[in-house]
Amino acid sequence: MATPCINKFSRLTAVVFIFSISCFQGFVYSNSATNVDSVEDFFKSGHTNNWAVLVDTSRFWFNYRHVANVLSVYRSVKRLGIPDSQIILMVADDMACNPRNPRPATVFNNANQNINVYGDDVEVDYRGYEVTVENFIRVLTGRLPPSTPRSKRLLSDERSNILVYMTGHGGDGFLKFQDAEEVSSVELADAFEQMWQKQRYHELFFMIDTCQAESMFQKFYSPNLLAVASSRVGEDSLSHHVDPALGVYVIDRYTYYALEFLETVKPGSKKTMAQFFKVCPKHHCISTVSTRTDLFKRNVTDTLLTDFFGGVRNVELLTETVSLDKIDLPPNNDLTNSCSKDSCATNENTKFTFPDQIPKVLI
Amino acid sequence: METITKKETNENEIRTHHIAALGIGILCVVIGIPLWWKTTEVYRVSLPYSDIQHLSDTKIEYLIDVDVIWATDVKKDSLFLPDLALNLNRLLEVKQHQGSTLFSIFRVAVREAEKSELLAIKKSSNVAELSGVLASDNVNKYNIIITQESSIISQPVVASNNNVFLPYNNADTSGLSAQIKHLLMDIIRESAVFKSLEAAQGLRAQRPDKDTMRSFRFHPGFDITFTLLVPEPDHVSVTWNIEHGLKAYLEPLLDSLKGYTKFSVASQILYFISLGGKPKKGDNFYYYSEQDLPHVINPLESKLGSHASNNPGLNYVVGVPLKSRSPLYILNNKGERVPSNSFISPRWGGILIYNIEGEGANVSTPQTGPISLDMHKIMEVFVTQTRLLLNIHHQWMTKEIEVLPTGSSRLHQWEIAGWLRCRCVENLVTATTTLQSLAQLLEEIKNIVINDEIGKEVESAVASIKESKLLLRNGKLEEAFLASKAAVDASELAFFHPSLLELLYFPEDQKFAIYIPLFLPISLPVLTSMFNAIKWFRQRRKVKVE
Repeated sequence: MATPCINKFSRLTAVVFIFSISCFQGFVYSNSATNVDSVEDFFKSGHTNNWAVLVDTSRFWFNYRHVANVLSVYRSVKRLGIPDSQIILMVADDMACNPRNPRPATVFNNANQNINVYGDDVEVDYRGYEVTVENFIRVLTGRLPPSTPRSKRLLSDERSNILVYMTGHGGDGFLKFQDAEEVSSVELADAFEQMWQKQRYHELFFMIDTCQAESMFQKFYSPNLLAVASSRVGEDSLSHHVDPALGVYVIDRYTYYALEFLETVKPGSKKTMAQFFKVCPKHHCISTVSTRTDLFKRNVTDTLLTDFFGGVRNVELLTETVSLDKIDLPPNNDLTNSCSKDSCATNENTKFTFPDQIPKVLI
Repeated sequence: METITKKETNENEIRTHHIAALGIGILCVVIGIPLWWKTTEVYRVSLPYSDIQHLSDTKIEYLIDVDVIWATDVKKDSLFLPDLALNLNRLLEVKQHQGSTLFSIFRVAVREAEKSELLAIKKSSNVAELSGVLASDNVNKYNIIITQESSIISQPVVASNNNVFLPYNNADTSGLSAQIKHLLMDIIRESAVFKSLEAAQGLRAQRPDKDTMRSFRFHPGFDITFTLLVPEPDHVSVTWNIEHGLKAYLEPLLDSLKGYTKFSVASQILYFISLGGKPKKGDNFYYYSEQDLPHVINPLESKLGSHASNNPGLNYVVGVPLKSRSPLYILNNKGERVPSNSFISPRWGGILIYNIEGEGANVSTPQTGPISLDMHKIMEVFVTQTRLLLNIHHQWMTKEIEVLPTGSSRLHQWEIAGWLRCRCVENLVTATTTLQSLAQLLEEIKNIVINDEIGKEVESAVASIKESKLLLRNGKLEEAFLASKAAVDASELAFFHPSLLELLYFPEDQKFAIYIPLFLPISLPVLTSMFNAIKWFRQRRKVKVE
């Protein structure tokens, strides 16, 4: 049942010495934990909006399961209330349109084919060869070319909770992108630090399903990060089952059990992150699910799952309104300046230009 | 003889070999290595690091001009006014806000009212006329006018143009100055200024605060979208005159902030879309409780469409309930109806549930025409929400106070001043922290390229911050705000510039992997032959000496 996974990748490991400086930051504000309680006096949670960055990094038909993983998570967070405009979905290959797919335009995460996870309203933001380490880091840090549309941007603020889900092939300290390059755990930790510095998140939950996944979050040093990984260093993450009709594995073990848990969660659910961390014990996963909570200042047993996987907004009832003088509609009803083609003075002098076809990065 | 020459030529040849090897070796070391070093260097314009570091240490001081005008007929001895001035100056001395770098300075002048002013106050027959007295354009100057208690001024009256009319209650100078101080602190939104400083400094020091959590941080532009949901156009046709509503009720507010931030307003009508969630049934009405409301927004959000720009968006939704679910109310935790029937979601917008009245009575009679919604009622709700979401709304600590209405949604001068002051301080702190985190990142991550453009932006940001602080200290509020806005723009541009990432995904350890296969085959023979040459020359010198 083991899936092809890269255990040893010829990669030079140099000693990482740069980031020990800011490690103490995490403790500085643990003393503000008492403040969190008082948020509840007026709002239910400390965040006002939710974002999700869901990344599948591997291409080719035999990696069908990674696409199914990421689309399943996409479906779950959307069901729990994060709108498409706040989900950045990166899918490295188009399995639905793969010539080997016997059921074109569908992707299933189960051999029973209950749910087509590539349903009617999947909005892929980065697809195919756009899924690169550079683009991924750019999305996280916000350093995108000016011509990038809103839907491809992570426009989070200091009150955003972000879910980052990654799946693909990894090794000790890196995750492969597109069989061509890889993101290292140090780069990822740096990217999160830059996000923290610019107040781009309130709390961030990092979830990764890959071989030796734990190594990806070991280098994290920014505060308010919570992480879970499907396997320890030295372990492989395994796939769940094969669909004989497709001839490939359709989902990974950890994601399979995580989804099974998420399916039981409803938008108003009180399930906590601590319960979620117990998902997929060793006899199910074969690999050991590993978590990291030291950077996170709240207690995971009090942290709701929907703080990351859903969008339960804070609301405030409007008790009183300002009073405005009533202004009646003028009888001639000519407020709108509406005009037809002929009656309007056309300003012919304005010259329109097309935006850049290919976004170019200014160097 | 022959063998000697052979030996000599042989030695000469070896000598040439070694000299050549040494020459190439030296060439590699002297020219090659510096050239390689220079060409692979990360390009970085030198930034004013020490200036950036000092930015957060320098004080943010805001100066406020106060004129206290004595406009009563009560005769006091000649020492009364100087004594009041002295008292006020002592009370309102430079104040530091809870150990932060924020200071407030008041410049107080006390004078007697001129005859014309006295006359004007006396002439006003109602409070509304008071707003015309002492009109000034200076947003940063407050006039406290002490008048006789009369039928129209029985409690402090705040007019829209920074004037406060204070009825004189025969207090002594210290009592009066305490009263004035209290009013002043309230009208300048002193606590809000400090809150925006804290909020901009990040979560680190921040105490959670409802106003800052609810409202947007300053942004150069906002997109406002009004959406009308008509779930059953086949049963109930609904329309609204949104152009009129916007022009009459919202535009005065947006005009008040013209020049400070840009608003783009759009509206849409969505058919066959109803409010999400499942309303509960009460006696002959339906309702949402507060816990249901988050789930009303979520399903709607995907239908609202997304904005084209990257500005934060304010979404305002008017929802007409389904016929089978009306009337529909929002109940608070005590089970009472919320009078406005609307709610806010922080940093998102608001939803208003609009029940079409009298609709249940004549269900069977077909509608003659579309029902037009009452824009006045709708816009009252949304103007309030806009004021809350942009953090303009003033919360008075003083209870017994009369605020003269502006009549429209136009902002009071003191509201604009308070908003500008808060946003200016917020922007200064935001720009400073942005620059400082950029500097810190550059120190931590060596691969970041800083090109000339970013260098220029950083320098202009630093200059703008300094300028803004100077202007704020001199009481030029508007100019200070505009400078702080420029500082935020420049610093954001520098921080988020795409070119910062040119080399970032090329970690240090990978450099070795690239250079070793390149350099090893070249450097090994060069170095060994150099080593041999040196050995050979040393040996020869030793032979000669012997």
